[in-house]
Amino acid sequence: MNIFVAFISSAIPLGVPLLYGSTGEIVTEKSGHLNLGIPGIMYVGAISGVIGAFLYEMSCGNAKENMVPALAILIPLLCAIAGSVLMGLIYSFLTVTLRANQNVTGLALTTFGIGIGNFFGGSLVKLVDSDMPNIILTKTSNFFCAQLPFADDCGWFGQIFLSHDFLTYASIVIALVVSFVLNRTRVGLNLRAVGENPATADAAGINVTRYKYLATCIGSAIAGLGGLQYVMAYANGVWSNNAFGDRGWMAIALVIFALWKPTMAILGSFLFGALCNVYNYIHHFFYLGHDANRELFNLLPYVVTILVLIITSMRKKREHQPPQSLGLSYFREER
Amino acid sequence: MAILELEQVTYSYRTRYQQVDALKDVSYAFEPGKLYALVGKSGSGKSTLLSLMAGLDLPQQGRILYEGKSTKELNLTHYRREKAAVIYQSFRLFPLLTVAENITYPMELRKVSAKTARKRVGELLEKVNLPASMANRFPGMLSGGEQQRVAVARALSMETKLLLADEPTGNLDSENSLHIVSLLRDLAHQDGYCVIVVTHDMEIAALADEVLTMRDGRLQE
Repeated sequence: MNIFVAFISSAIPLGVPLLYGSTGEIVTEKSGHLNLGIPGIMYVGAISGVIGAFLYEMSCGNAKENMVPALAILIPLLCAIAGSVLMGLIYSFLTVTLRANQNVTGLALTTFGIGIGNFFGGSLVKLVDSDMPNIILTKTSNFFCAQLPFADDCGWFGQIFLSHDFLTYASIVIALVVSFVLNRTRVGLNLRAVGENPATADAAGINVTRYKYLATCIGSAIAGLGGLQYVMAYANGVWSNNAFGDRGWMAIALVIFALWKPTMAILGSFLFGALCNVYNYIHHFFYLGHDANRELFNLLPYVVTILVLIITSMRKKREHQPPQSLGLSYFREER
Repeated sequence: MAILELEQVTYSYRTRYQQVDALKDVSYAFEPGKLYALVGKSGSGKSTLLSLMAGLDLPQQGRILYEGKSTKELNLTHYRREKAAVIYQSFRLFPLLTVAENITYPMELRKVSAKTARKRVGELLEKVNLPASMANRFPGMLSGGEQQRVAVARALSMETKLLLADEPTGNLDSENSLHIVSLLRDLAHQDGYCVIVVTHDMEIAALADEVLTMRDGRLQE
């Protein structure tokens, strides 16, 4: 029982960056833009938060008692949002204003974002003259990871549901708010109209460009928070270049699994978090013989991702389809 | 009195390879209660003119006056929302919205109450000769002719006086084409709309009150 609770409890933080990434991508895709730059945007969100936290810790003389908790959280949070929104603006300018190919732009942005992240990450490591190739921001991380005081008193329930950092709960709240806005508000209806048929929305008096820019930037900001959560909560404030892995790509695949529904993304993210965690726990549940056999379970999330893509691509139900104009640039003057 | 006046409208745009002088000194006055057919070969400037009249862009020279006011002085978003309704060849309905939701969408933009909008759906479906039972279907479940009727109902829900149609019968068979144009003509004659239809089809044009021919960006008398 304890192992099972520990498995679930540790799977949740693994799913949170995926949830941020997929929610952000859903917002962007609803405007008709396929943003394959999400992995890079999440990476930039993470490094921007790290830079903010690093500078704040430095300004406080690296002493936790000098740090104001609200600032220790707000500064990295705002830096992460600013960095990822900047990436979103670059993507929007290229694909909305200049109508560059969305796939190529997204891939370029991912490469660019990872390059930028590694550049700043490497620079910070050299700045502190560390022997290890990483930056340790445990003081800031402690503020991010503050738990509810009564979580430990609630047994397995507390361990599974109440023992997480605030960005974990925020990811669920954000996904629910996005779902509400998309499905129940006029703004959401307009955004869906832009993604389904920008020409009709344009003719009806919707500012298509504004909606596309806003959706991409808001989506990027949400995705960027996933990068921040990974560093500050999951990795306990330790930044290492390239440690973020392929979570961004899994977040994009999750959008298809979630059928462009943020509420489904909540379920999907935690399911994928659990799949990523199987590797760490499988030997507790089954005898695997040689330890090398365990390595096979590292493949599990990727195999399931491919299966999900195959199965979801075969679905033909109308409500399970992507926005009709997804991936297509809108040329108003085409006549 | 004219509802829409074109005064020496000139417009050009660049493609990747060339500069296209789409409209040259086009002048005309459109009156309410009439069905106009705008005909001409591909590239003659018909659709460009329609998009300017729809408020999707402004003329580079000359003016377009709606009820005496130049579109250059009007808020184009407001103009597109409340003054000019457009019907397209490919219907351009939202596939994930029901027929009723497609029809009420322009009303949502104008912040008409949901109750009033729902009531209007029934009236508009009746107006375009579709059964009320169709309200909860999705566009993909309808025939081309039915989808175009829904597109007309959506245009009517905007409560404008100006209906612009870009090849509205281009994707329909001859029987459905005739029905749609008859519907548009009834809207002009019975309800006082000014209906301007861009078409290649001379049989359709023959049903119009006025036929305007475009050639090389100019309107021919």
